[in-house]
Amino acid sequence: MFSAVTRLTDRTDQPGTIGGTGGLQHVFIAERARLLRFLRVRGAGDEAEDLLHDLWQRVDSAPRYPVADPLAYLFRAAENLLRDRWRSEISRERRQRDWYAASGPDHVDPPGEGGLIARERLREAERTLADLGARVDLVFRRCRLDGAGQAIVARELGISLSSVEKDLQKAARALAQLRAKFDAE
Amino acid sequence: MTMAPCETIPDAARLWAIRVSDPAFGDWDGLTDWMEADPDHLAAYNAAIDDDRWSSDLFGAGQPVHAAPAATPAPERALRAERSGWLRGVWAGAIAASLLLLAGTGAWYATRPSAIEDVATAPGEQRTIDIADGSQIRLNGSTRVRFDRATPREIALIQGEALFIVRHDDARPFTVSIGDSRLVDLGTVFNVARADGRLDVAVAKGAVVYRTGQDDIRLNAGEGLSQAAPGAVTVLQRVDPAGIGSWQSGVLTYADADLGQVGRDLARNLGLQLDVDPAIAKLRFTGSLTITGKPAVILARIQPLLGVSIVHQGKRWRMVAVHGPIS
Repeated sequence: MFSAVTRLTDRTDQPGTIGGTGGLQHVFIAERARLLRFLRVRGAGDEAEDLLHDLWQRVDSAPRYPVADPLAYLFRAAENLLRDRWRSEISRERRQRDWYAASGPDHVDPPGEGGLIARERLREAERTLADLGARVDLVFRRCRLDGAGQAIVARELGISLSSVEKDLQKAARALAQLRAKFDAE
Repeated sequence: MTMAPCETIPDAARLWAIRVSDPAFGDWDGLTDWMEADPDHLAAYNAAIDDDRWSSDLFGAGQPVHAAPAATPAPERALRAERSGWLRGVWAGAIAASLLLLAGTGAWYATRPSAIEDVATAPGEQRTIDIADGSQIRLNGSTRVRFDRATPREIALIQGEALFIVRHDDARPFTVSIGDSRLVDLGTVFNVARADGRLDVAVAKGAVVYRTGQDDIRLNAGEGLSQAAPGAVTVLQRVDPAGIGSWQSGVLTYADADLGQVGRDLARNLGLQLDVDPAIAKLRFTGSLTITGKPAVILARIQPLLGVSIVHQGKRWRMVAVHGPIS
């Protein structure tokens, strides 16, 4: 079964495991105050200590890969934690509001209407982006739809990182205005 | 960060949301300072993120998926994160495609009518593919994978390197084909690299079976195999499970690897042409290399770690002995 296979001998003189989360935990402890301050102003308020504890548990159960920049990794984890939390609060509020709205008589969309509206809105959003110019449109698609890194897109287009940021900002502003318009309809 | 003084709070918040959405973002203290400066900033920032999610949903494409820590937390969270990530992954592309074709617009998806999908990354770019069953494929730079939307658990690695984090299903094995050979998972996390005919497989968790047609080779966690060319002798070796897939975080970790391997990894991760002088290709290296930053700076920094010189020759780089051939 193992024809044409050479099994190399196990080496017992290897040094201990490289990487792991040891460094991450060390950084967590060393930078506790910075992380706590971020959590507090980022929306956790008085619950920042509890969330820091959640964060610790996430870090502790993270895959045992070496991390290039442990501090950035921890901040990113904290940001994700707060986004999850904020989203679940918002959706709870929306569910409650929708429940009140649904108990009124006049709020039932005709069947099939939802898909039509979504397609019409998508077309309008595409027009909005196109109106901002070909470059803004392309930058938005590469970064936000393809998930390409902003530095990569800057290199692809031969423009500065700050131009990419400004293009994305223009697109975000225009789409937010479009959303407000839809909400008002 | 410097803000133009006339910039409104919502605009500033959008700019922060855009910066944070980039996987390379690192100015967390700057973000904290900005939040602290005005109690209205937090609400504006949350609104910017919510608008961003709304537009991403509208376009049917994902928030860019980073190899972010929260994507792999405790098991029950992981399940939820991956499921919610599903619609935002490549499959949203398929859904958007049918939607757009129906609507008679959106030429950019309509050009891909086939169910066969290629996902590729540029040199130095990384990307995560979420599969409906909760499995994940993380692509390193200069990598291309191909699959049929109808059978997403059968992936072909055309070239490059990917880490597979597989949700095992006895009824539907997850397979990765590399030319005529196949890897079949037995519940696992494994890394596969394919370049210039050479194949390297390393298993971090669980086990995979390597199937060539004649031989079945089972690889357990901490084991790997290499093949210099299709049909060449298959060499089994010990690998360091902790180092597998570490390229995701900008670190290459080795336990007794040869410099030829290190050179191939550097070329792929930095997106450049790098040859290793055959005279030193069999030398061994154990340790970690940080590979974030400018390629020329990285190469300069790691020379002493590897005990070699890396010299620029035209458009290519060459790794030679410190007192290498004066050619």
